[in-house]
Amino acid sequence: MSKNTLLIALLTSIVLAAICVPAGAVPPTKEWQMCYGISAWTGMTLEGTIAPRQADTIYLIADHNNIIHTAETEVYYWPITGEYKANWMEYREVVDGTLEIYQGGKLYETLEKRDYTTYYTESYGQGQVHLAFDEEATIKYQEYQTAMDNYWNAVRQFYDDKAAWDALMTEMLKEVQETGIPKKPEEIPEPPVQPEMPKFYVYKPQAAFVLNLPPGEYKIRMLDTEGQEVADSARKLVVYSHRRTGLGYQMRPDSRWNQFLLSNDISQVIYVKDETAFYMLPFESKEYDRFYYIRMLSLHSPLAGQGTKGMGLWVQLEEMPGLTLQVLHDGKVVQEISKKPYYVEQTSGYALGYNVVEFDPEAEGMTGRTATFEGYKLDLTDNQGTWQLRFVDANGDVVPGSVRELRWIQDDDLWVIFVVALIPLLVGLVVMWRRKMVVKHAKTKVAA
Amino acid sequence: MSTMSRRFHAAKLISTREWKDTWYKPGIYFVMALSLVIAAFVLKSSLSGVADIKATVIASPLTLALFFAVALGTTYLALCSAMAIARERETGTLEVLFYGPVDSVSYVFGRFIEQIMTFVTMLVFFAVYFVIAGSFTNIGFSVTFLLMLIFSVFVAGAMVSFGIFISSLIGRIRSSIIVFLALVIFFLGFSLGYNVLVNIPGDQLTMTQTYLRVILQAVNTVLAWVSPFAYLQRGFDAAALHEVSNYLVSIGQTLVYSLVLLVASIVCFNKRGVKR
Repeated sequence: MSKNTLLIALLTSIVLAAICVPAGAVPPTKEWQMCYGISAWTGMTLEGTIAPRQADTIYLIADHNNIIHTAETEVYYWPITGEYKANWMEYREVVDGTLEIYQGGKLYETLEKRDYTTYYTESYGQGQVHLAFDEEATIKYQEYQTAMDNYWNAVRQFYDDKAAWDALMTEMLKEVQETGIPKKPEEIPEPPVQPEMPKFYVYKPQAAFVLNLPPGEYKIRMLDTEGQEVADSARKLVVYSHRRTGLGYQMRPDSRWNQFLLSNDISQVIYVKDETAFYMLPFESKEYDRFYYIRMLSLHSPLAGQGTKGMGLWVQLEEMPGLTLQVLHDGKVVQEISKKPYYVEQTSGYALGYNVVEFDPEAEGMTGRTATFEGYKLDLTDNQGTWQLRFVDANGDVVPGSVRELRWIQDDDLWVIFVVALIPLLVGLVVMWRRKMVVKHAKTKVAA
Repeated sequence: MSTMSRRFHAAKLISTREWKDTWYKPGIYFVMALSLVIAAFVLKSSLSGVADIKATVIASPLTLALFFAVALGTTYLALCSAMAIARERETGTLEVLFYGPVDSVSYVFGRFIEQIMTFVTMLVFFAVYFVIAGSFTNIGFSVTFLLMLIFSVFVAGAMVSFGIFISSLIGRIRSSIIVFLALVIFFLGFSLGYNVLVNIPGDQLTMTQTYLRVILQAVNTVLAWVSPFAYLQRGFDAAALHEVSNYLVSIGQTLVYSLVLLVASIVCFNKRGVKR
């Protein structure tokens, strides 16, 4: 039976099940099973999904670390969202053992669980996500814990110092009120400074399988500590790579600063009519197989991505730093633009409106504020027509896949293109009239 | 005179005579104008879309306009082939021709070359139109678009050989027309419908739509090799992305498709004979 037939049968069963269920609240049927918890590399970060017994194939991006947890739990289908759910909060019995990976029927690799941690460089959930393994994971976590302990100690110290400072101030104030002699500025101690929270976050290390495989089709199964295959642990594993790479543009039009226009490949043209400026950012982008990518992130949702096999999906990854935007006209560079911070300033009054201005933290009215966004500003007010855009690196080399065309459209008097479309009819009339004349002439000649 | 040169001579005579004849009939001019008017509508709606939202990022609207123009133009030519062959069989002209120096190979290739020559001429009109429309609206006319124009000649070959095959298989004019048009409408309608369905965001898809998408995907896997429009789409995509190897592969696939259908048509002719 093919996979499509199976899927159709599954969908039919779901529809039938939905029809046959009597009205009223019905608690979902829970099934105790071994379930894979997957943190898959998305190209930029790790995202989680579960692979219950019903998900027979796991998808992962090649040549990157992907994390797989194994645990027994209750799994149930939740019809409201059309997803399988694992009841982790109540039951989570970690399954220990080894993971066997087979390719073409032969054992390719046997993995043991490793300690790992994920950590963020800026704060919880912010900045780039990193992975650390084994001893490094423990060290990272200890560093984080030490930093947090120091922080809380500093916070405690701060409140003690603040209380002492407050008391001193009260005393000084009382003294000034009694004597009438003001204190000199150098006599007033500086207030204590509130400590800053560590700007990174490290999760507690856990043991899991770390899969980093080249593209291909594999089979996996788990063996318990006694070397026996764990029930429900056999799965197919598809490890895939990107199909294309490029440089993606994120463009904020001046008229809709909070709405991005995205351009991922060179086949796309930027068409403009009456826009005043674009604020652009270059991103590394990769095109993945749409079906694989969506299934990878949504194994818990049996319908996600179905019917999209073979199609592409562009994913914009990290912003590319240190580039310069070049604007070309007739093949010559006419402008070079660098990245700057901008601030969105609301206009006064009740009506909606804003101005995007270059952000200068020292300018009047900007003190204590932060830039709304950063970008390469392409001013369009005085430059209409056809341009070429491209990004160059620090050496002046054009970044592959970064060339785009920007065109100002002309949409007045469009009846012209309809009239031109009728030219073949005119040509036809001329040809047939001439043909008629030739035949008539020949007949006249014969008659004569 | 060898068999090959005799066949070549006969095919050349058939194609030249029929090609000239085509241009003395109003149908071809009407179809070209209709194709270009449809293209103009596509361009107008794209430009209005840009003007409404001030800025957008899309593939050149000329590509879609050309897709429709080529689809209509090649369908007409393939239909002409199917009708002409069926008519000549029904009227007995084919039988008479085959008593002479014409055989199934020279006849099929003669018809095929005739329609390719017609399409190339048609393409000159299309190219002139798109240069004018592209410059007037500043949508632009690029090398990429030129590659698409060239690729469409190969797709015209695929479409015409498809028409010849249907006609050689069925025989009767009415049946040939009905089957051919039904298939073309199915191919085009399927392609558009599937594209619409696939582009609905996942969170907005109903279960029925997902169910339908899975079924259509299975059909699409087959149609990707059967429908000439699927070849057209692949070639246009490769050209748009400047992927030379994919572009050449697409040309190769289209040539193989045409050749297979032409050979199948010859086999059908030989099996069924040319009598009424």
